[in-house]
Amino acid sequence: MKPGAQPSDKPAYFEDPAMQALYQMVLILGEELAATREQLHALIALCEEGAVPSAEALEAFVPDEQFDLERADWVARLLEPLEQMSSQSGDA
Amino acid sequence: MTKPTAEMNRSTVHALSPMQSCRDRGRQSFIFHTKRQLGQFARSTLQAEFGKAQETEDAESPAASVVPLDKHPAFAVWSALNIGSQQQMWRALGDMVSRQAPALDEAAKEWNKAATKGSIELDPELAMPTYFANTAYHGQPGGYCLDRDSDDWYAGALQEAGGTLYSRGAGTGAKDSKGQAVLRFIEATFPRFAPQRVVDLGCGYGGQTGNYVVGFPDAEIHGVDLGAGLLRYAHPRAEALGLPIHFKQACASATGFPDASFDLVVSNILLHEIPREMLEAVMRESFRLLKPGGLVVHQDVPTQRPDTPAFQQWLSNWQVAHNDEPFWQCFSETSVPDALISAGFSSEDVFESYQPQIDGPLVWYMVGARKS
Repeated sequence: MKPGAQPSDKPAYFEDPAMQALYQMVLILGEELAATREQLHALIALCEEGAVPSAEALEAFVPDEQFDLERADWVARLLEPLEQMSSQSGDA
Repeated sequence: MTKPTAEMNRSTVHALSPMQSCRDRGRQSFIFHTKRQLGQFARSTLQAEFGKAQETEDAESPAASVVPLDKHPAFAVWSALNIGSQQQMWRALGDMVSRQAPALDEAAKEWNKAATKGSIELDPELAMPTYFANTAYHGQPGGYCLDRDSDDWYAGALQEAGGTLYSRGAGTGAKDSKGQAVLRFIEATFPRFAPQRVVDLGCGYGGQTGNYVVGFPDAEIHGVDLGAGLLRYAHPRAEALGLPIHFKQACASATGFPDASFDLVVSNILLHEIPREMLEAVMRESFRLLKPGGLVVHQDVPTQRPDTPAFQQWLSNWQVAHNDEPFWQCFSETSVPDALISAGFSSEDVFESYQPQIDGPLVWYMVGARKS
């Protein structure tokens, strides 16, 4: 039986290791918010159909393409400061 | 027996595919869009900054190091987010697969029991090469050698789910298939080639192997991999899809098959995952396995291309340093045609080519030979 390999240690990207931890936290929060948005979107769409949605209906719900565009848009907004930081750095 | 005709690609769903819950979909969509955004940032802003750095720094070989951007603050943030997103991907997919492990385990057992088309041959005594046992490819927890008990299929499930989400985040479409790209290349280059026996070296979860069943319906198809946890998933998966494939746990450099027992030897993105001496051994094994007139085609990432832009090389090197791709650079610097010739193929029978993805913006490197 093989226990498996462990991912290698990653290089330090910042002088202050707290920065790295902070970015991890931002991603985890973003992921959790995305999961909640997904559930909320399904819930609202099903409620608009007039019935109290069941757990099964929630899981079976398939969002439309417009919602995927909204997902892409809010991730773009979340990462927008990266672009801004880059252009500020370029100006300096 | 009904011959499978379905296309095997990134959208293939089967009995061992984990169900995506509403929360899973939200988490994975976030990861997908984050990867897309970060990729776009790399291709636009980082590439521009890379160009500026090349102009201002006295970099002797900018393509071979990460130096030109390592002091740029946006690079640090991009790297942290990129690696964070990769770790997040494995956690999200691991949660999805683990939550459904009992049901998936049942499905695997059911299809193992019902297996009539293909087979699986595991070798519990097989020694794992050190490079394989120590590499968690792309950060996949446990790597491809994860094998916790005699029923463990987790590595295969994670490899398929991770490969799909990662590739789609990198811009590859749901209809993409590396195996189909190889088939298309063979059809265009060797139009009357009709193999009777085919072996896929380093077949992993068998996602590409299935394409050779579809492409050569009269052939006997074999898949070889070191990872028992990959093959325990590959076998019931293939059975559930109606694909007659014979899986065998063995090293791609020492498969144990008789000399001259195959008409076609293929591999899909194996070469950049192995050290140079193993690559050379795989070429020797390819030569040994082929019948006269047989064909070998290895498909891989296009970093061998002489005109690969410096920034693309730099991105590849980033993968080496940051994303558990320890052999990528070694592959880029290895001449596969030379290795084929050293293995016994005639230089006039060796070919290399760059072929477009089936559904995506990339090109694939195809290298191989016909055995005289």
